[in-house]
Amino acid sequence: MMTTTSLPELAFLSLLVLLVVVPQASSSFFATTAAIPKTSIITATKRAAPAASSAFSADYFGRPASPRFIIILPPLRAQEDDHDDINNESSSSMKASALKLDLLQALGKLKNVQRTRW
Amino acid sequence: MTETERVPQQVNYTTISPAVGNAAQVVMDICDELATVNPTSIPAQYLGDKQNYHKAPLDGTWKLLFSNAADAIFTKNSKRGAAKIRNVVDARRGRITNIIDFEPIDITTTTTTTTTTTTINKQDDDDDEQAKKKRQQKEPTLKQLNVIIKAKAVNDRRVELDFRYAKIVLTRLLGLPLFGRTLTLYIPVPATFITKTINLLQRVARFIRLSKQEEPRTTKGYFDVLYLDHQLRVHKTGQGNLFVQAKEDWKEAIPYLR
Repeated sequence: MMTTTSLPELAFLSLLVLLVVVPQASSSFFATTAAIPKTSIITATKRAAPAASSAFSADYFGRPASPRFIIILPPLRAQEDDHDDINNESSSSMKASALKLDLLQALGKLKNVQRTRW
Repeated sequence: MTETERVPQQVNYTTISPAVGNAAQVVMDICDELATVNPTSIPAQYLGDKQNYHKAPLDGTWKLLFSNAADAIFTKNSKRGAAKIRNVVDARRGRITNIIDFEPIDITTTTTTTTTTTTINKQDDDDDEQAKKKRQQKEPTLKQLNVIIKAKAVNDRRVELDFRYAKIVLTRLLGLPLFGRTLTLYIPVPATFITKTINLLQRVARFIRLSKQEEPRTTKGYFDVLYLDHQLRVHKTGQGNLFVQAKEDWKEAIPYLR
């Protein structure tokens, strides 16, 4: 005897899959990422980076492991670079400002010693 | 200029005094350090760009703070007299104008005074001193010199210079006063004019002889921007002359402007 699945039954089964299976598979991932502070993620990402290619092909949904952070690697790495750029830029700018003040002082000193000669 | 080539001489500050030499060296060392933190990655950008000239980082009027180029230094005790120097970059036209404003010359005249009374108050003493040494100022014959230069960016930080002509503003002509008026003369810069004339004659000669000689080399001047922001500009010319210039809106630098 053949059994046919009616449309309401099919809808119910799809809903069941969506509500039960997917959250279970992904919950550990979201829970892990949410619990870890941003800086830790960056550190973990840095450590995981060398194993990036093999890590991504690992059992993604089944086994929680550090390489899964690779998914959020590109934006975090960009953020990190941005921070580095901003830090470098601001330290460079501060150094330039300090040097400009040094320059004015040096010019003042030069003017004073020149005044005594010319 | 040196005797062998048309290159401005450099000032060796150490020959003035060791203290002056050391002070100038400190300025030059700081300039070298500033070059390592230059915030403008493409200083020569938009030079001569008719659309984006207003974004050109070099655009505007720059005043001299320091230089080791002999031609750029004017002091009261020198034969040329004191002068204020401006460097106006017109990014839209791709033109740089060096403007040298010569300051009035101080003339000290001595007058004889006789003292007839023994009771002279302090004010009278001061008046006598002023009378003895009465300071007058005379307009210099050469009031202003403008050197107009065509500027072209050849890479991110190098600007090639092609000297076009000089404009001189005179207050006297052949020793005769102009009664408060000024006379402006336009003269081609000799180096450019002579070089162009020689090149033209050589081309004519080659054309006549139909010979295939090597094209004569023209050595154009240039400067490399070492540091540039909205207040300060440091550049070095092809001859190794260092120029430190500031914009007037950098208030802290005003006392040091030459």
